[in-house]
Amino acid sequence: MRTMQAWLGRRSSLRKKAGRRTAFLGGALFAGAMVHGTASAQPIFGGFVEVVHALRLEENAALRDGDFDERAYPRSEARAQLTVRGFGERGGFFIRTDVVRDVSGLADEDVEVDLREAFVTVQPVDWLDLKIGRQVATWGTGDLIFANDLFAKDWEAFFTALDDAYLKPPQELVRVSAYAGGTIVELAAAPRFTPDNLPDGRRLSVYNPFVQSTVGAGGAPIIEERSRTLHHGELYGRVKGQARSAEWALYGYKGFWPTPQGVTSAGTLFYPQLAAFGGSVRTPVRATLVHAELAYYLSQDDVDGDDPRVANSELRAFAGIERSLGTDFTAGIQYLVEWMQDHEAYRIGLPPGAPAFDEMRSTVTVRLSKLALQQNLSLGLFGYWGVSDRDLHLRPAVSYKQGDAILWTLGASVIGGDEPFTRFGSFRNNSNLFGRLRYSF
Amino acid sequence: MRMPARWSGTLLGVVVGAVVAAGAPADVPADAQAAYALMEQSHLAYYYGADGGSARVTMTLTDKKGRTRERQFWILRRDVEDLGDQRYFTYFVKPGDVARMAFLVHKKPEANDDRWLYVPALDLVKRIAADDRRSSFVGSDFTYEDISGRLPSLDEHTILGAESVEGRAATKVRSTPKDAKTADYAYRITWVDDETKLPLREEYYDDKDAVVRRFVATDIETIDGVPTALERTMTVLDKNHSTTIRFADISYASPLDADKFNERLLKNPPAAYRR
Repeated sequence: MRTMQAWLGRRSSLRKKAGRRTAFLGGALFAGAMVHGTASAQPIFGGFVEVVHALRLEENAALRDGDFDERAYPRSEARAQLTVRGFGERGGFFIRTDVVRDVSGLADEDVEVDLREAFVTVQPVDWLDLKIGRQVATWGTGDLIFANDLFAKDWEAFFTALDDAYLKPPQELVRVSAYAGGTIVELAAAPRFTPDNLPDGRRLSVYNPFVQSTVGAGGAPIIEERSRTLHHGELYGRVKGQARSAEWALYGYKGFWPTPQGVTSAGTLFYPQLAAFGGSVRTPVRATLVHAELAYYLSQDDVDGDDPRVANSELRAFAGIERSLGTDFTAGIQYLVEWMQDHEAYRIGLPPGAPAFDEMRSTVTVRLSKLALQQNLSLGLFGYWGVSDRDLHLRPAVSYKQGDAILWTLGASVIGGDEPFTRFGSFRNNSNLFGRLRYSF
Repeated sequence: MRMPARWSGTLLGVVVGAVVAAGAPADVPADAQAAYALMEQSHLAYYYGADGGSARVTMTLTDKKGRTRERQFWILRRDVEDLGDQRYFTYFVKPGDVARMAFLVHKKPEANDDRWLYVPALDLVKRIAADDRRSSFVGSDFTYEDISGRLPSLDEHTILGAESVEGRAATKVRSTPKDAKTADYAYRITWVDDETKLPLREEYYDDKDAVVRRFVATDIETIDGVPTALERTMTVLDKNHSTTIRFADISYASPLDADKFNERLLKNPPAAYRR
């Protein structure tokens, strides 16, 4: 059901509970690591404090209500991050936690503890690494586009002023990495499903396909959470190798669509089952880096593609190049294709008058980055252009490093589109300008 | 500090003068051959000491107002063959914003290096496009080429005579790039230590014979049988800006195998190289 492609949803309170639970888990891991002696050496502390402020660049009718003034700031907060790490002969631990003081009034709580990572690493034998606990994970070859990387994403953070590192929210994973020669075989198991975090009408307005209009807080459709039993977990796999300078990898995934691409009979949204498999290559060709990736998404709740309530299967492929255009100046371009597998069945199943996506949708991305002033000044632009959807998202940013501790960043998140239901179009009228000031220690 | 976007080799240089020069073209005069042989020995001594090793490096950047910035990292090296391919690994300890970041280089003197950067906040192994070798290494006054080495065969070498540096007997050699486009200086003069073949001092000249950059190596000690300059400073004279790198905890005893310089090392380096 392709109209569900528009990212939307109502945030559930489960995230908070998960945070508390994992805070406990992190503490337990830490204690365990200390006791077990994997952290025999002195722990190392680090972190930063940061203020982030984002300002709307355009009025948004969907958010126009009594508290419009507040909505002028999609994000306004102070954030402190503390990291602790320790290493021993056969393992180590790492904890990274944020404390966020919100002043925008758009967060769940005024003060939130956001445990980003808490894991232990163990090397039981020389050819095996275990990484257990709350962690972020990334694989694949895309630059801010994804095919085989089905680890969770935080698009709300991505659109509203936070550092790119916040695109990856943590997941509870048991990750096993085995090494044989130059080949890596990896399995990651998540006892419970972590969906993407999407804007929910509070920080950004979203498109509600049921009423076919753009809505603010409270107007987004309700999303049914997956139950928290092991049966609703996720399994990720990868085999990666290298032949001369070329890297290749094969991937597999069994879990759920990361965005709620199913509609229940009760008129709510849910995460249908998904299996995916694919491959990637990445290699230099002279001075140019080339990457390509292919993934097949098998929508297991709608294998024939004729259920209008569940997303169709999809073939997703991209290719990209990156190269240096001069001293400290690099440029990259990528081309992404998403090919719906049963488009005819999808069209027949659409309600009358409902907007339809193309069978084959393509997206182009461009990256330009330049460093200057002893690499203290960074100028960057990343842009998505939805060729088929006729929408775009631009991410210009300038940052300046003042000494070793202070980083100033000024940037913008520009979102636009001809139609209100497309990937970026569903968040149009939410463009914002932001500033960040970070002090690292 | 920026992401260490450029970086490949380094340091830990040195071999006990035993290396025989090879590859000097046969049709050049004898004195030019001698100069080439000396520069090749010096290159081996500085960039290819033992078969590899590890060291903790403190890098201090000093600007014209005397303000300093400091970064600390571990560096691991393994040679695949002398004057040939090398593997380098850098793990950043300080400053805090780059802590746990790591950099892996498969250096290929005759081709573009393969380079990877690990960004721990995303668990991302990013491949880095080959870049201009004259650009700065992590914002310092050392260029990528200073760190990873410039092949002696790219230059014409002439011995200028003997001249001691800080009491050490040395031989002065002038090196002129065969292709001016491969360097941002007109020529350079190196003082090669007679005893260890390490470069003690280097001066880079522009086409008006003015010194643009100056390199100085001091505190030479023999560690695991390998003479090593514990401190090296590069000064950019017109900017009055300098960078000093100081080596500690050096070991040449049991370098990591070349095939261990892979994604696992980026993500999960041995505990010994993490603090």
